[in-house]
Formats: sequence, C-alpha cells, structure tokens
Amino acid sequence: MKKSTIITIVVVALVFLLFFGMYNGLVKKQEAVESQWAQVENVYQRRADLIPNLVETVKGYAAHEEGTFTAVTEARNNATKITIDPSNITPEQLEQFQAAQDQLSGALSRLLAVKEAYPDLKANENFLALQSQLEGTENRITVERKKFNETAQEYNQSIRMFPRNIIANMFGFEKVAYFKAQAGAETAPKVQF
Amino acid sequence: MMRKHFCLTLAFILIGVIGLAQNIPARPNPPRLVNDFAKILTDEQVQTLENKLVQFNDTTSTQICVVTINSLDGTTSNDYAQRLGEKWGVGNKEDNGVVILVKPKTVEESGDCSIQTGYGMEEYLTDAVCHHIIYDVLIPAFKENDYYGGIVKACDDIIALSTGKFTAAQYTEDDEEWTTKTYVGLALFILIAGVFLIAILLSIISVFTGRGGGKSGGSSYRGGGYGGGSSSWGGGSSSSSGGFGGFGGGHFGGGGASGKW
Repeated sequence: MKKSTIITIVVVALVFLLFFGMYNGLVKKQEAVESQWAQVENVYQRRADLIPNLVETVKGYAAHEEGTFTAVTEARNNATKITIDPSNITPEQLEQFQAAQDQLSGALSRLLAVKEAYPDLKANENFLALQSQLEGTENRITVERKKFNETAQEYNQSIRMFPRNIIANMFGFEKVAYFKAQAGAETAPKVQF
Repeated sequence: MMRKHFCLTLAFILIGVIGLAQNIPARPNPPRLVNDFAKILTDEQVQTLENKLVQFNDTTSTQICVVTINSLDGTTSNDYAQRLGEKWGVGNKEDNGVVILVKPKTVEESGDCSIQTGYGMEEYLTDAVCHHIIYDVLIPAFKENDYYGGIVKACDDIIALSTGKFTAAQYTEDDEEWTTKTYVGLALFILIAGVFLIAILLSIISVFTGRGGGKSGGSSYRGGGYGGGSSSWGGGSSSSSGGFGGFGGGHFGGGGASGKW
C-alpha cells in the first residue's frame, strides 16, 4: 500500500472515532438532563405527598377553613396531573408545569397562614414536624431546579457548538427548556414558625 | 493591539472565575472537617472536635463538616450550606455528608445556622430531626454564647443517629466494584473502537482494490456508551495517619433545616 493511502485511512478512522466520542458525549449529557428532571419530579412529588397529612392536621384545629382546604387539594390534584416527557422538555410544557406548581405553592402558603389564628395548632408537635418537612422540601425544590437548569444549560450549549451541532442535527438532539426564575423563586419560600 | 486583546481576555476569565466562586470559601487545604472562619472556637476546641469527627469519618466514612462564617453574603443559611457542601464535596460516594453552618449573632444581625444533609443522609437525618437539633440543641446553647457546647452536642446527636449507616468496609467494597466497572468499560471501548477501525480499514481497502461496489459500512451506532465512571477523587478512607483524608465528592439536595436566634 502507498504511504498516502495509509495516511488517509488513519485520518478517516480518527475522524470517525472523534464523531463517536462526540455522539456519546451528547447522549451522556442528554441522559444527565433526563435524570435531573427525574430528581425535580421527585422533590415535587415529595411535597405533594406531604399535603394530605398537613391538611388533615390543620383540619383538626381549624375545621371551618373549608375554602382553604379545597383550594390546596385542588391545586395539588392539578399539579400532580401534569407530567412531562423527559426526553422532550419544551418551553410550553415546562411553563404549564411550573404554573401548576406555583399555584400549589400559593395555596400552601395560605394554608400555613391559617395557623396564626389558632395557637393550639401552632404548638402542635405533628404540625411543627410537618412544617419543618415542608420547609426542607421547598429547599430541595430550589436546589433540584437550580441543578436542572445547570445541567440543561450545559447540554444546550454542547448541542449548539461546532462541530457537535452537526451531530446534534443529524441525530435530532433538541434543546431543552429552563425553569424561569420568578420573583422570589431563587430562595425557597420562607415557612415561618 | 494584541496586548489589549490579551488583557481583555484575561479580565473576562478572571470575572468568570470570580463569578463562579459565588463567595463560598475554597475547599480547605489541607482538608479539615472543622473550619472556624468566624473564630468563635478556641484552637483547642477546634482540634478536639476535629479529632472526634475524623475518627467518626474513619469508622463510618460519614463526614460531618462544621463551618462557621461571619457573613452569609446575602443568601439564606440553607442555600449557603448546601452550596458549600456541594462545592467542597462533603461526604463520600454514598453522599453521606453533613454540613453544620453557623453564623454567630452580632450586634446588628441575628445569628443563623443550618444543618444540610447529603442525599445519602436524608433518611437518617430527616428535616424534622434537623429542625429538632437546631431548635432544641444548637440555638439554646448559642443563646448562652456556648457555641462549642452546642456544636459538640449536635455532632454527638448526628453521630448517634447515623451510626451503622455506612461502615468503612462497605465503602471500600463499593470502591473495588467501581474500579472493575471502569476496566470493563475501557476494555469494551477498545474492543468497539478496534472493530470499527478494522471495518473502516476493510471498506477502504475494498474501495481501493476495486472489488465489490457494495458499501457495507454505515451501521448506525446507537447509544452504546462505555460505562467509564466520572472521575471522583473519593480517597480519604485511609485511616492510618489519624489526619483527615479529604472530602469525597458528596452531593447535597437541600435537605435539612435552618434557624435564627
């Protein structure tokens, strides 16, 4: 074989290897986004799981706050209904998800505000424990959302940069959406004791 | 002209680095579990507590990191402690780290403290438990200005709660498993790369020798992936010298509690 042939073969082989490496890198980043999304859903689910207990406890002391209870229960049902396909996170879907969760946050803070009128509730051990769990969960939500945005940003950047964007186009790697920081969303809502 | 560009680039890089740092102090070197940046403990107290925590790390691989600071830089204590834990990598591969952050009370500002748990500690140190430690152990002592007493009692409680969770033996076992996985992944990768190289070589040779026009290449390569673990410098299990071996890259998900006094 001629020298030039060998050189061509080596170059072609190297380019192929490079492409495989890049493709695998993109798959890895995409999987990181998906698993981080799972974490986000986990912490929101964790919050949803706390709510029935919390509502029951508050009911025991403030039975006639019926409107607040139904608002929370409804918001919870709405929020848990929305699921997102993690392999295709579009801005519209994420916005919808976020809106439902924010509505639940609002309803929850009104539920917690009820305690001001009921000193017995405020001193209840069970209620205090639930409240601290809720506070921790709100923190977790903030953290996982932040981590999701970071992972998504890294992925989005890598599918747009040359030469990986060629591969991203070829295999249909789509941009994923971010959580939008809203006023006060950066820090978890403060649960007052 | 060149020089100006160079300076500009340098400035941007510097800004970037500072921006990333987010005012969280850098990981201490040599690594230490007790970091009294606010200077509210005596050297002797720091050493005693450090020894206790290092010993706990050596026997269980769980890392409790105590940090005192003078300013939260405008964020909440939970957020600060979570980011610090994540940045320093407190805990080992099971994410079994705990950060106890204390910002002492000053004349102008109220005191603030937080306990943040790594993912692996959440089931042992639930938010309610952390809340209990903060309001019934830390803050009562801090109100008496007994920072050391409060922190030691909190550490004792955390140790009692999490004892038996991870043994050092379990930790080393996992470590071995990880290395074999890496080798298998590497071997697989070499194998696949080799097969592709040969395939490419063959197809090119066939083109050059001109026999058979059929292009047989093009087998689409879908998501095989070689499971090389991401590099984690999770050393720190050496219990020989008695000193702290280092943080093991644990992650924090925001679990825990905080309180002000």
